[in-house]
Amino acid sequence: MLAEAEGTVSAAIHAPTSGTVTAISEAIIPHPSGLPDMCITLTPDGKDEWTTLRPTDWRNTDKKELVASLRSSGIVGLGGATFPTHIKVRADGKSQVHTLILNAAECEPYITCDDMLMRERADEIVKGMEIVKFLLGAENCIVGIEDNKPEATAAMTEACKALPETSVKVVPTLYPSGDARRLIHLVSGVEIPHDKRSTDVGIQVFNVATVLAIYRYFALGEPSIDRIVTITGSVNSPQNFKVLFGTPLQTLIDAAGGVQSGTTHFIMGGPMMGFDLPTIDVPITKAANCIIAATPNLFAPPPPAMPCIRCARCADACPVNLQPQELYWFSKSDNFEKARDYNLFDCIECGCCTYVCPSNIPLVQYYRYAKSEIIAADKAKEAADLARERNEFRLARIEREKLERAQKHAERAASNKAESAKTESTKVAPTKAEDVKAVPATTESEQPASSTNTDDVKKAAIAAAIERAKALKAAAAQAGESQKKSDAITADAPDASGKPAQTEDEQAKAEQAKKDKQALIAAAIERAKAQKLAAAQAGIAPKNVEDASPAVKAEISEIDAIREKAKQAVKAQDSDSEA
Amino acid sequence: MLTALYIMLGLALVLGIMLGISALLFKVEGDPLVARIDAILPQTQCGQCGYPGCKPYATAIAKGEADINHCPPGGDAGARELADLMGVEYKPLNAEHGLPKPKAVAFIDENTCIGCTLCIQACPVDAILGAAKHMHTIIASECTGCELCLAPCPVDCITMEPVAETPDNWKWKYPVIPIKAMPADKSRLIMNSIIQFASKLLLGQTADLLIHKFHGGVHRRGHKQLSTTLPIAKLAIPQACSALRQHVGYIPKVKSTSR
Repeated sequence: MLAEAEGTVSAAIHAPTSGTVTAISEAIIPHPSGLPDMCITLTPDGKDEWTTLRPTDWRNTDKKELVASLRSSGIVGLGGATFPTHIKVRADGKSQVHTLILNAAECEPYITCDDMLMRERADEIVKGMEIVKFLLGAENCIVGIEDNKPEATAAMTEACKALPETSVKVVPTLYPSGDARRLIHLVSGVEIPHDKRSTDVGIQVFNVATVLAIYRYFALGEPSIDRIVTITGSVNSPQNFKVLFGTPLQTLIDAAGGVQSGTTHFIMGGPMMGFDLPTIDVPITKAANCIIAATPNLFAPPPPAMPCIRCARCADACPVNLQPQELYWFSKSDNFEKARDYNLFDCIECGCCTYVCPSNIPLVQYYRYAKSEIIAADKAKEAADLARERNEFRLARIEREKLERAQKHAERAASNKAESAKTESTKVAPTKAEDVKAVPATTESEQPASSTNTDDVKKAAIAAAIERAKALKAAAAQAGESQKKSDAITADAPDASGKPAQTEDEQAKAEQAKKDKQALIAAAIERAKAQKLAAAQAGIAPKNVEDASPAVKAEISEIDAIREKAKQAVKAQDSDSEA
Repeated sequence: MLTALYIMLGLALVLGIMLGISALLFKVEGDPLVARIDAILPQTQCGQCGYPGCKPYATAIAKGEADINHCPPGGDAGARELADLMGVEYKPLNAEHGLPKPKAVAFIDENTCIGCTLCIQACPVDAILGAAKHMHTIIASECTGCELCLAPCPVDCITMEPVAETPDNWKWKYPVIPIKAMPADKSRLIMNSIIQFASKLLLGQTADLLIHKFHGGVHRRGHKQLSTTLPIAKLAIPQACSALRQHVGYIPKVKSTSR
């Protein structure tokens, strides 16, 4: 195995032959974009040796195990859509599949790989069909073959003869009867609603080549390493080849006898749904069912498109009952929402409308354009939603971090408070707590020691602060007129009352000071209240000193200091009383 | 006269109560207009509009403080959609706020990065991974291409890399129909195209369409006999093989109709 499956819709890649991996690099891939993608280059040693192959006894193995092993088998739908097979056989628990339909219609012109496969290996296909039936738990099996393949029909009928509940059904040749939903309708008469999958009505469709690959994987242990490819068109000997995945296209062309003169380009897939290969230097992939060498004779370049005459020929040809002419208008005018409303995404891009258009309008190209624009817009929308979510989450996270930081501060403040209270109480213990005058003297000497804690301590000193603030208010009211009050608190704040003293001579200044004082008092009360509230919430009180005048700021800081002292005094008192 | 008055009063009362109840029942949280504007904005959170993100800009538009044409990443289509939603005249993008650029994602030159975390702090969608003094890297799928990480980088190791076209994000192009010069012999060409046109038009519905169960479809020459004359041959082992990724294409989400 070269590469493991990643994600849900993914399949493994196996080395198609023995050899050495020589490069993992970008190379052009067979994709309509012509853009490069990561490729693994393997140089074969020419021996083509297998590792030990381990066939599975599928009849006596758990279905879940089989599906898991199918995931690593690298088997995908070989009809051309390359949808990983393990997803199709996985039981989703919602619906029980009762009918398995083998898609052998091969409705596109030129392609014959499934036809030849059925002619030559019908028995192996039938064995594979039994495995898939077992995996799905299906009871019936119908093989749908178009009536232009009588040999294949005969071979399949012969191989299915022995099996009960298996029938071969011949369907009329009409493009696109090989589309899964069309084929289901043709062979079983059931039409699947556009918003449902076929498994919702108990039907699952498998391509014959896929079924054969499943047989080879379980019965012989061979993973998916090759497929049958039709090389046709203007080559010398059109033929079907069993081609290892990754084989360069040139090797295949050489095997088919080279191209005839006049070959201009190569088409991968059928002429209806295929696309022009960007270059000849591309490998054969799991999706490559047919390579057509094209000449202007075989595939004339489309004549210039003429205006739509609303003949509705396209609506007649549309196998999914859409209104191609409406979709065309909407796609052409970039009216994507409207196109989506008209079920643009139900379009299977079969190309019938383009084929019948008398004005030669490349209708499917318009639908493909509209589809990819809508898909891109949807992806952008998803990305925007993700970005919005991430941005909102980031903002919420920043907010939360801020809160957490505040919480931490508060916690630290609380622990500091407890600490400093201890130290203060021991230091202040000798001082009589009732003697308020003495408190500043004592604590002032201790101020430097506890300066680191003061900020936090201040914040925590609520009860005392309120008392002090109240007392201060009374004191300050008198301070403007007289500073000689023998009140304890006024004495505590000599600087605060000092300022008015200096300015007593100048009435205006005194007035200003008075105002400042009042503002200060109001601020102090506010702060005290705020701190009380904050402490109640175990938070911190913000310092709203920014909009106060410098004088007021100075006073506030002083009051803070006073509060601090008072608090310590109270603490001392508390500890005293406790003692 | 009075009866009529009472009836009208009663009606008014009943309807008023109903209105009151429904106002409570169908209460809309937040401003739905802001959310609708925000849904149109591209969510790059680049701040080119002058607001610190798409939501604040949406709020400003809703309040009528900001114009609709300040968002370069939203492009012309975004301005048109906003004009539609707000019921105002469309205005071309205001070049003052920058011009639309092709989508790009930031890329950190990991050799130069010193691990300062400044870009991580600047990223509005947390799309940068790293830690202090450790290499940083961009989560490309989450990067909105806002360029906000470029300015804070002290060593200028962040560059904007345009998103390359890959087979995964490749888009089918708008069909271009080449215009060819008319040949000198115009009458013949015109005749030809008229004949072709008429034949395709008249070819139309055939009777055998009715035997099919599904509608539509076309008959085309199969050309199958070309390649069915020879049996399947096994190709010799080639010179070199490239195994590669498969492109399954777009798988539309089928809405599960729950019963």
